[in-house]
Amino acid sequence: MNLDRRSFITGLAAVPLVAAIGGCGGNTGPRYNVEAPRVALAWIKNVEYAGLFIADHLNYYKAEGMTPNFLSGGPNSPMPSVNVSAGNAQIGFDNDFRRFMDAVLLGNDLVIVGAQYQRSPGGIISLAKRPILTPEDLVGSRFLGQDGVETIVDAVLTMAGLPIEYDYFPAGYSVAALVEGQGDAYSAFAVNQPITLQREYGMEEGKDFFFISWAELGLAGYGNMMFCKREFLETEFDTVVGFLRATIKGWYYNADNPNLAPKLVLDGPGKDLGLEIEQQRIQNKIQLEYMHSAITAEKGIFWIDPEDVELNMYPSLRATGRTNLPPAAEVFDTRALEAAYEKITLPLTSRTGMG
Amino acid sequence: MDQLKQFWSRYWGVLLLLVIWQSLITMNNLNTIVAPSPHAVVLALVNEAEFFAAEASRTALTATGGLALGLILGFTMACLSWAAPAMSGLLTPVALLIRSIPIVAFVPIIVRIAGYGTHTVLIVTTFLSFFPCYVFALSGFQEVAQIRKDVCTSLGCSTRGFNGWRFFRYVAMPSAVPNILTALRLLAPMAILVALVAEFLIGSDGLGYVMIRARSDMQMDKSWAAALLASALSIMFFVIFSWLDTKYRKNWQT
Repeated sequence: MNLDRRSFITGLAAVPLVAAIGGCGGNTGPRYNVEAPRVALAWIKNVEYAGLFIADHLNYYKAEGMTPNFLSGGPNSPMPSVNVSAGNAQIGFDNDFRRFMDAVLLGNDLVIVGAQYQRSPGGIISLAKRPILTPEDLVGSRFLGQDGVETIVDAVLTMAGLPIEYDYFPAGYSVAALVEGQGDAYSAFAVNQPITLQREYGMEEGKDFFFISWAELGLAGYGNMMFCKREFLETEFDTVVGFLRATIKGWYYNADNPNLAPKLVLDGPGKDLGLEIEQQRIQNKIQLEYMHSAITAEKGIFWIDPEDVELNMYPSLRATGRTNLPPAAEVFDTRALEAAYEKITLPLTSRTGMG
Repeated sequence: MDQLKQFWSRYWGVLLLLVIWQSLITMNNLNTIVAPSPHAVVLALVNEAEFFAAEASRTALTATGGLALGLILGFTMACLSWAAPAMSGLLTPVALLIRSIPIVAFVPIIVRIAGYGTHTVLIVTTFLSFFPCYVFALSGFQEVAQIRKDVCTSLGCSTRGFNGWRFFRYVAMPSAVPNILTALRLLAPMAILVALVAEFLIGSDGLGYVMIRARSDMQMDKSWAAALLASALSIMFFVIFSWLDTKYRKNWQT
């Protein structure tokens, strides 16, 4: 090949550049600091993570030898699974069961080690003039949703064998668009927007507005699932267990002292988020409901059940085309929970009234 | 061979970028949900070529439509401002106000008024194109060479207000053409960008919508393919309007 001077110089310039890139990616040692694990949250730093902030405040994490660094989630931040896959965080909380499983199916070897919400509080709010209570009601509706919700609505309709016919409008996280009549349905969290409707608009649930969860529409799934890379679980098992144990203790403390977390959040992590203490108090109370189930009564909060996943959560994934799912026990790993509960004394559990 | 050499010397930067992109992904072993490889992006483009062509033409059409409407609106307003300077006092602050609102803040306001849909994307693009067209056209009208003005005055032709329409038609308007061509050249890539942002935020089709929908579905290759196509579209618009500018500017300049 005939090289002229310019292309030769170009080529020369490229060599160290590529070598430099190779250099930074080449080292295979741990790139993380187990004393300060980075934790990617699925939502903004509000009372949704009450247990974590309490565990931090009461030095439960310090007792396990770590000071976690919480990365805020929510609008315009990377998805927790992306953050963990990229190595930007070691532990993540994911609120979207379907999207999480899609990440796994795309070759991310992620494991769920616990679940904050036994049932996802996600669902649909509608108003009395056009209630949406069944998948059939969705057909022909005007749907106000946020990033990622369109896929969920499509899944509900597919599951129910209905045509995917509705108008989708991208809306924000304020329920105002629904109240102003820009749509018939609004995707929301039971622990968030219904409180706004009651407090700010004076509406009554079951009369002026309705909430139906995705689970009731055929898509069961956990919420705020705690996960990490499989490699991290295997190599840093004690870190995962320590974090999980401190987190669980924080949540139990929260159940006994529900007024502490709203105060902590407003004074610290959520100071600049424009949160309202009363709204946060109500949210903290409502979310406790979502944290327990038959299995947590027996085993403790955060418990996950691969069998339940296989029986009740996988079918909707299969029905929407995800046929090559790994066995649930491979993705939902209870070893960390078992190890964490070994050192959590029972009186704590029984005192809370959650057990 | 010569052509190959020329290609290499002109586009080596792009090729280098591709090499860096691919190496970063291979060496850090990044999953597609973090960043897809150039190979995956090209594959996504090719596999769904028809789909992407349709979405790209939608975005291009909306951008062109917005640009055309903005030009017509800006030109008309500039004409009025020239004829009746009092109008200018009314229009300039409004135009400035529209211009100073960031598009991401502007979009939700327009949605409240006009509702969701492609027509809203068109309205946003029109509004954003309007101001530069208005300013460039008006300054073109006003910068007529003094000597031409003098000639017209000496021939008894009014050079201002509604009475001066003949001066406007035969002298001021032609002298504003280079300005308008410049405005279009600057605006064309921006119109694409504005259309994309509007589609991203409120649309239900077009490349901007494909970007966000594919991202929510974790199809990053598709999302990046749309972004790549959008850049290509933006460059294409710039090239077309630059060409128009250089081709026709001469005809109007002295």
